[in-house]
Amino acid sequence: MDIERDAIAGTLESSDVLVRVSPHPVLEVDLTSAVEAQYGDDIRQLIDDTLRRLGVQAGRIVIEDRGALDCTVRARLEAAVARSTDQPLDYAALGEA
Amino acid sequence: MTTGDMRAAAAIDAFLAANHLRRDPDVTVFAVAQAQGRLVGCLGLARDVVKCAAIDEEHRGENLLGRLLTDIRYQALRRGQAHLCCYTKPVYAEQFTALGFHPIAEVPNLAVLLEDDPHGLSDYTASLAARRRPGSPVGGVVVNADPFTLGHAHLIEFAAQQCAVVHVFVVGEDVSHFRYKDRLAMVRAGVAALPSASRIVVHPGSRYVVSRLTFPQYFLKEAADVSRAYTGIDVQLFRRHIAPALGITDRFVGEEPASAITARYNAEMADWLRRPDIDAPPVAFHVIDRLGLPDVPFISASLVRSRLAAGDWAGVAELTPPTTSDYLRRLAAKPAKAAVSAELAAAPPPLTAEEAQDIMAEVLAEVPDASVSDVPADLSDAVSTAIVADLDADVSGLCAEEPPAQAAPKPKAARRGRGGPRPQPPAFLSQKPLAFLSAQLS
Repeated sequence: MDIERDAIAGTLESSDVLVRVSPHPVLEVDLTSAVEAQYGDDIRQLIDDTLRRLGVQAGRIVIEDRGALDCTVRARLEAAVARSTDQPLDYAALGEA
Repeated sequence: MTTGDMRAAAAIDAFLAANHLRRDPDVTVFAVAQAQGRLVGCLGLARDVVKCAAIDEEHRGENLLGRLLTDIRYQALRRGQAHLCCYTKPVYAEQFTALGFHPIAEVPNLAVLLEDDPHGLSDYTASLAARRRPGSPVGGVVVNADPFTLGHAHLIEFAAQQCAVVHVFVVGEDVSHFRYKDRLAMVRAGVAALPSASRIVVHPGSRYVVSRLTFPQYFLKEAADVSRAYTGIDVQLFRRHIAPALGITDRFVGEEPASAITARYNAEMADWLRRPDIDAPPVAFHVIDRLGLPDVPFISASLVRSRLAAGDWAGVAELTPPTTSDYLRRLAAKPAKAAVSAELAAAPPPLTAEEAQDIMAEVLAEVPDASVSDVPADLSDAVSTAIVADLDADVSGLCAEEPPAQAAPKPKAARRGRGGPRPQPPAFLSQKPLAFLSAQLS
């Protein structure tokens, strides 16, 4: 699945996350997080897993985390990717934990 | 400007004035925060520029700016702006870096430019570096070319005579009399006809080649401060990022005999290009005499425009290369497409603080309760945010008796893409779609 156009999801509220995605030839993830020191690696792993499940192989992903729970990060990322493409998301594949 | 516009604008003007700020006339969208019917925060958007930010003192530390910025981001994306930048006082830079912005140029104590794309500037300089040409010295020229005249041709050709390569940058915003697309086309055609064309590279505009016309003024008191801030930001970006990417050693500008402001700009530019406290090689600065004609002391784009307005095609041909006069004739032949964006410059000026204050109370009394309608009663003193869009159009927003049909209960209603509400495309730059979106945040 490709990022076909710019899209955003989420907010900058506390406990939420703002995800911005843009077309780009390679996959690049930028994470800034209020809880970077404690959970930075976990969040990165979660982002990588979610992108892999979505089949996103290229695109620029900018994530501003305000201490969101894992399910929120995942949902916002899925929403941003879904808005960036006309292809339907494979929710069955997303369900795999 | 309708009554509704004036009231929405007046409320914002009064609030900005109370915070020692002004509304820049090119801001077309505001996100506003209200608490108990009172305006307590606002954030404006002009194209891709976030500005006119103010938060009531009593509501600082509540992440209001983050909520307003989120609203503005969704609005900006609907308008095709995925990457935003922000001008503010350096003292507020930290507030924006906490919201995902990165400072890229600063004039100490005066102004800072931030962008929200962590790779924006580095992507741009990488794209420039790909167009680098061998040889030395390397010249740089920035033109607005509104439209491209024999004077521009003279300046660029003169630079090319002194240099191995000349890079020409066309200021990229649609705020001049001619649209950017037309100005760029005229520069490209004009340069292609020059004797040194093979050694001249024309670059499209970018946000990193700042237009003096659109430089934000809302937080600057004096005209001299605006000039200093603009020059400092623009020339720093040029010297620290653009010139190194292309190996530019020399910058050429036309003399500005007509205006004290531009003369001062040139003096300040010379200083920024050579001062030793910047971590980039100095760039030599050359002011080139303007080209004149027997009956014209010097050629200027404004003279071309006034002759064009008078239908004096012979006069236009006297001041422009054939490429430009041909292009202008083609534009004139299809008037609808030739629409110059002068209407933009005619956008209503901000009201004075007194005028604004006079009607502010009245306006706020009429703010529809829609913006708090789905807040539980016990939370009704919570701060709500709303978007006031397109101030110079028929905004029914702040004084509507009922919420407009498209008013949506959640910010997610501002989502883009399939199924989401889309603004009507304006026929002309000055005709803005009607929009008021209640953007209630839970």
